[in-house]
Amino acid sequence: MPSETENTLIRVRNMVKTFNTGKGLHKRQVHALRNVSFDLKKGKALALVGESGSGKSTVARLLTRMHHHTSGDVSYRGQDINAFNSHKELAQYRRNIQMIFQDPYGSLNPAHTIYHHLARPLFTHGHVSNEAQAKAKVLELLRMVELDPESTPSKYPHQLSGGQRQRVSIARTMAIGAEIILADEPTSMLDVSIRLDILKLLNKMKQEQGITFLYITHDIATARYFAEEIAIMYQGQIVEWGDTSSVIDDPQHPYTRLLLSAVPDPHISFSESAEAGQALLDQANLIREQSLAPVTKVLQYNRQHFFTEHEIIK
Amino acid sequence: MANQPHLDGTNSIKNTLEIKDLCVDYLLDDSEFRAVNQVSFNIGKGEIFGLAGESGCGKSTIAFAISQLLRPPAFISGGQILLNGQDTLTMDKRTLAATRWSKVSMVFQSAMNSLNPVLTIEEQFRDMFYRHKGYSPQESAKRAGHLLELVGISPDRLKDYPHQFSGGMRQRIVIAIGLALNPDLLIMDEPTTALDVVVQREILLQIHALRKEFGFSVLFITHDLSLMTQLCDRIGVMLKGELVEVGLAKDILHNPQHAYTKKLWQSIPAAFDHQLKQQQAIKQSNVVMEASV
Repeated sequence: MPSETENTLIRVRNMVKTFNTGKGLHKRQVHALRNVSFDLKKGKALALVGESGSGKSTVARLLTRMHHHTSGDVSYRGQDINAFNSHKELAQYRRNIQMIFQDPYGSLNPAHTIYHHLARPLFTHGHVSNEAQAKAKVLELLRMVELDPESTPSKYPHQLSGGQRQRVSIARTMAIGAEIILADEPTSMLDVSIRLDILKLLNKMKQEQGITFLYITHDIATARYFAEEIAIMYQGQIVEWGDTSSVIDDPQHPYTRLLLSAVPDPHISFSESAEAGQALLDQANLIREQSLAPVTKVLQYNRQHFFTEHEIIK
Repeated sequence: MANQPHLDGTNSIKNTLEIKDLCVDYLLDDSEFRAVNQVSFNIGKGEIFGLAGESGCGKSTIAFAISQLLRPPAFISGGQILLNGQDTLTMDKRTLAATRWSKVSMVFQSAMNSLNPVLTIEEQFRDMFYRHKGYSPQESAKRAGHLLELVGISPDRLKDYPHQFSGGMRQRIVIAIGLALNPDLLIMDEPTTALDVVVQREILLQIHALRKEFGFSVLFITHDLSLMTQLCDRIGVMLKGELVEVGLAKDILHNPQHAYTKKLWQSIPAAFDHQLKQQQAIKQSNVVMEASV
């Protein structure tokens, strides 16, 4: 359908990334991503969920071209991202795709004011041509991320709380004019009570301005809150994906079931869940081993919900 | 429930830990900052007590105060800490050193990185066994192997170094070291925050089972209220150095009294379908209540 392809901003097919590490006798390969495929659709969020080391952050690094993928096709609006080779083309591409990182303390420069953090990308990407325009635009950005436009510009990062700093990071991606935001655990370092405020802000940007998100997380609950689609990743392979509520309420892949059984649910006490969950946990190592094997087949559970079958290990 | 008579923490003989009006101050240049203000709670024998709150609310400061590990500029400015009825604040240094680890042991968030990288697992146990029990290396190795089995790690791995284990296994080794001297109280400060949910679940199920077997009490500190409600018998909620609400876990969940506790629950999105429905039901009942007022 033509309308569907128009809405797909990023199309990833069979993306593979292999890192070479070590030297001489210790040389070995790390298969960070194995045949990863997904689409990012305009104005929608895809949650990429998995444990640490499953390769979810590598996906974001490849999409922003911090690394090249080893093989597979990745295209942005139909153009192969590997074809962006000149400085100008790459800058143009990166203007559209930006990242928000987990650590709001580490991603701002302590020596510069908030005004500098927001005005600089405006100038470098040619969105403004003089100070007066920049000032007006910075105020607008701060208002958008619900920070006080009067007092904030002259402040330094250490004068802001974690949640406020994360808002500055978000405003910075908007200053550049990104249409796709790769958010790598944007709330996991924040206190519980401000996490939801940040998610609400991202949700507003998605709905009102049609920003597209890749939401990388290990928190199932926030994924459900924020993302329309979810992909469960284990050891470099996506093992189950589809409509968020269908995947979470009706998981098909054994690894997804294991992951979901371990998510704390306050309504079920430990003694109760110990009995029910024990059977699954006893198999935890077996499930991990089986899910590690290469995917041989993709099965469809319902119209918007897929899961994989793996090579059988003896 | 008939088999849980001490859950309310009123019976003082059965209490492993009693904290009364504890105040901890941090000395600043020209003033003092009160990090913990008049906090009182009890932990019954064999009970898992949870302390919830945001970063900077003083929950870890309490953990350090219990084992007297606060360093200047922090100092305990008031109150009592009774461990099995004995005041730890008036103990001399020697008794205190003997009490630490044998009566109270601690597991921290980054505990898995506190293992010495150049010692084998067996040697990590040896020092502690020698100091407290005077065990020979052979005795210590035997006991260490037994402890590793308890936390689900094969005793064959005693000769391995910390880097040969995964993060979850290292955290389990630290828990094994924490349980080595059969302490009365195990303090766990965000013990699984750096780990994956599946590993977290495995470790906490083990703690849950070990507690039933050995009857130690646990002070469990985390910011994850859902996890805490699942694991703990009673929960205390802290806000800016004060304990604003203490209650049975299920009361904290179903009937939170303090506005801050309610706010904490509201800021956790639901993961599962039945939770979503429950949250909606609560919202609706709130709307009805407001309308009737």
